[in-house]
Amino acid sequence: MANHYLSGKEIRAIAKQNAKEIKRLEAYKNRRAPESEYLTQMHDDANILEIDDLHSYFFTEQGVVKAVNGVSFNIPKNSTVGIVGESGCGKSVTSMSVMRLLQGPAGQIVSGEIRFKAKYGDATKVYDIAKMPIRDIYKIRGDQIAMIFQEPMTSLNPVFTIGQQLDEVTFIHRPDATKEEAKAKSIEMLNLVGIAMPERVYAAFPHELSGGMRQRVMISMALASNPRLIIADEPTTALDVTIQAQILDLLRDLKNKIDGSIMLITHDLGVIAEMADYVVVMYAGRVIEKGTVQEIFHNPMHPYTIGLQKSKPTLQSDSDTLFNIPGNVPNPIDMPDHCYFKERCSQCTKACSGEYPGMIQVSPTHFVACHLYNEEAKA
Amino acid sequence: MKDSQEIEVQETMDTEVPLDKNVRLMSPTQMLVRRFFRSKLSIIGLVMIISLFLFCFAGPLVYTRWSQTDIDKSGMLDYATSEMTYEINGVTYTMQQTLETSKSDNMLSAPSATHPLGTDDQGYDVLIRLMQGGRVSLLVSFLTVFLLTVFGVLMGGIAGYFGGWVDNVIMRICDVLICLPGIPILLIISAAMDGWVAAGMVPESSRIYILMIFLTFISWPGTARLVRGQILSLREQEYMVAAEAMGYSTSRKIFKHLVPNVMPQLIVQMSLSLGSMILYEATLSYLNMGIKAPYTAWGTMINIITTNPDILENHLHVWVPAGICIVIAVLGFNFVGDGLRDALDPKARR
Amino acid sequence: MVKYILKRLGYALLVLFGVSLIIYFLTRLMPIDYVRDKVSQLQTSGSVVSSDMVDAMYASYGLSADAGFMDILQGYFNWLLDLLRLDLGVSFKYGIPVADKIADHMGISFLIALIATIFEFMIAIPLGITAATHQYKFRDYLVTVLVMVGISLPAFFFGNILKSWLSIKLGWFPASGLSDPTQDLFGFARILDYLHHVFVPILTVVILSIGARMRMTRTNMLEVMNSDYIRTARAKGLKEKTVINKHAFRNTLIPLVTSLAGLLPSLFSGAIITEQVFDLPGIGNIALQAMNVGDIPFIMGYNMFLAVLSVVGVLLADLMYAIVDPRVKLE
Repeated sequence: MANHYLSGKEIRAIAKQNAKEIKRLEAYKNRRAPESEYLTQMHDDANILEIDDLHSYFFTEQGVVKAVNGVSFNIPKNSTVGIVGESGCGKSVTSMSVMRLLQGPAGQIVSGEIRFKAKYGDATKVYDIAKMPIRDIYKIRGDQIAMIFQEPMTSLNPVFTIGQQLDEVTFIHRPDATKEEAKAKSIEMLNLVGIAMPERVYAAFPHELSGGMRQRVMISMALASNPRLIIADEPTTALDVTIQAQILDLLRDLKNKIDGSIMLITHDLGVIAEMADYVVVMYAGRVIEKGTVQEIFHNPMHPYTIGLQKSKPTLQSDSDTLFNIPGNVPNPIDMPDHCYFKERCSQCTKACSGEYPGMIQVSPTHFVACHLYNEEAKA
Repeated sequence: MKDSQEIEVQETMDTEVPLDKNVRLMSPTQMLVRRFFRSKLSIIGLVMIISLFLFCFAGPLVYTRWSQTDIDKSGMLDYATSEMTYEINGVTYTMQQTLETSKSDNMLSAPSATHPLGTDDQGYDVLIRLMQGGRVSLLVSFLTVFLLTVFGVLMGGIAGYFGGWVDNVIMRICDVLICLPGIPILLIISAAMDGWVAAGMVPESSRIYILMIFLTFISWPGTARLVRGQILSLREQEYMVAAEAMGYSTSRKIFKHLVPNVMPQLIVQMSLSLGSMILYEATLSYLNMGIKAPYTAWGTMINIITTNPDILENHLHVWVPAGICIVIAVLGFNFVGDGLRDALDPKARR
Repeated sequence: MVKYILKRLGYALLVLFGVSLIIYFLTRLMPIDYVRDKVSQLQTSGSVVSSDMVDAMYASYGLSADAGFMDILQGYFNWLLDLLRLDLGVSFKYGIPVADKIADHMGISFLIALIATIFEFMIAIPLGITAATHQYKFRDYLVTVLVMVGISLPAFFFGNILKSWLSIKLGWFPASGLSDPTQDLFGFARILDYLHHVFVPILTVVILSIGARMRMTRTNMLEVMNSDYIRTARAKGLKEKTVINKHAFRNTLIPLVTSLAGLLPSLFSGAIITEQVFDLPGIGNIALQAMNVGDIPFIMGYNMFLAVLSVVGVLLADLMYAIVDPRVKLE
């Protein structure tokens, strides 16, 4: 308590350690490797993506930020998995790790597996994305997995027309396509996402479109490669409410049309309730509870999940004030080995000062990481 | 569910640090120092500037054999050789002529134990003049940057604070001044000053100072725009509205919040302008508009080669050291300025 | 668009009016006796300008020491009217109209500056981009050091170093002038001779100006590389090469092309110091010589000429910006 600041010696030690780690990880990332080195098997064939004990860290001057600290969850085929948590809980970093878009040299995947089942025609291959050299990522990035970002306003290149940016996707996957074919495909995609005048939008520059239109364009861009998995990182946060509903409807429709899965990242429980089949709740870089949408909404178990639900405004509530969880999300540097939610929790027990709780299975699909249920199990 | 709530609730102990406060960060000073020294170039720059200052200001205290105005009168015999080639009937003849000339001053002598950097065409010791000339160059630049900053902050402050037509007038003046060509305008002023010196209105020794003061009058717009921009953006900030709601006076608000907000950028700009002012001063001196003999400045020491191609060619020790000093000074301030920008810029990368 | 341009033109005229005021009053600071002395020195070296002409000019422009306030006002407007008619007066030193003298020597300066600028952009842009894409790696530091050295070198020192080394010591290039006076060359040989003479000056200008351009490219590129649309381009599955060379490059180009347009007029202004060092008959050197002998009409004319160039440059840069960046709409 006495000292909020690092000493000069500690700072130098951190810098030295970081430089060493970054060098090792960058070399690993930039290596050349035969495909056999990162081919693997799915643990459950019904899944399209399995994340297993993923650790993604940011090596900052202040210390190592363990933004994703041992995250595991699965995305089954043809399902929508919602990842929910406060800002800074590591949900975006998880999705960026899957796309291998973490900003190096500071951001690195340190360990863990990301198993993804890629489908080429009728053949399927399972890749461990975390072990893939960055030069091979093009086998899946944009092709098998597409991503939709939070900021439609800045996510499109301002100097190219929508058409140019859409055609590009077609050309990546079919280098021999003619200009006309690419355009036809792009127009088709724009039609698919419900854009009224695709020809006009095709020729427009991004700044000439509204936010909702741009997000539709982003979605059409993601769809153009027929991906097996779409990662939507807060796709509706920057949009106003009516447009939000439209975009969500669109995503739900498309999921059925493309026969793929969606990983939906959001902090909005309403969006999750409406869209998701499975829910993963994250807190400070860890998964604290996961289960089907019914389980999480009707039988939330972790005090944090309960708190999250209580803090949602509802019409039924007769209270004048909204519930809020006291305290702030911790900055995940130098975390002690006990439950991170401990001192914000209203139901702390002695066990909470002990080591970090493991995942406890309460139903075939429902898992929670909290000592409360551990003790129950013991008793 | 009820049961689980009955489980004894343990209060978080007071001595324990809450998790979100658990993280120990760098102090702002540490962050600044760390960022500044992250680039080795900042360190090099700092070393350059410090050693140059030591050289110029402490050097003459150590190196006392000669003073700035001492002419080495240890005249010695000198030989002038000339060569003539002519051709007769296809045969080339070369005639060499060696003349013995006697000099009263030890001019253009090569570096030796008595003169580590030799002497110039007047018989002055180059090393001591390099030190003394550096004093002039550095002092003039510091003075100019100081005046420039004060003037710029004042004008920018007035423009941003009062706004309206005052702002408009000052900003239009800035537009005009930015369109003025620097060196040619100074050439006019220098010519005018030649007239004043001839008329005895201005002492010869202070002309470079007056010239640089004129330079501040045409180069303040950069600083003024910076300060004005800061004030305008401050006015938009929410905490300024809050301060207003709490009844603070406008001037108190502006000065309380402006200083910490604009200071980092101002410091960066000052260190970068130090570099460019040294260049300006040197260029003016090179064009023989600066300080005149027996006093000297770095640029003046190079000026000699414009009239004497022999020195340009054969006596590098007379002019090259001065040039190197200028480069070190400018490079040093630029390195430090760049490092400071990285350190102070809140948007700094990585 | 037309309305915007007209508005900007009007504004440019206002700025030029301000500049003319400053130049006029600075010139007035010069004592007349001093100018007379200078002119009589010129006459001994063969200038055609007589003291009467100087006095006449001083009277008509209200520059004389005994001029009253109304005379000054009258004189200023006389000068301004002449300026509008592109009549910059007759040079004391050269004996011909200042406008003609400027027009005569502008071409040489422009050619040198143009070649130098082309090289500058061709070298600086790739280097700046490499530095940005390899941030904090060896290449980046190397470029940064080059940038700094380029910015910090004084033109007169570096020019003379190159001159004494490449031209005098090694004797590879002529040390001064634009052509070899001992030879009468025609056609291609003449062009080669010119190029031989301007090589070192151009090298000097390129090295001195390349740093600022590299820094600009690097900073822009870094900013662009951190933007959301680059992340989108990567997420699409584009190769890193395409991301940099197509998506990032097009965006980095915006400020570069804008600066190029702004640079265009200044190519005519002449590099005073470099031309002086290599004794080239460019407009900068001509002006420097005129200024050293107190050639009032030339000083005033040349300064106005430079101001016009920089105002036009700002105007061109703004228009260019609107052309290159689809987001910008002129209003």
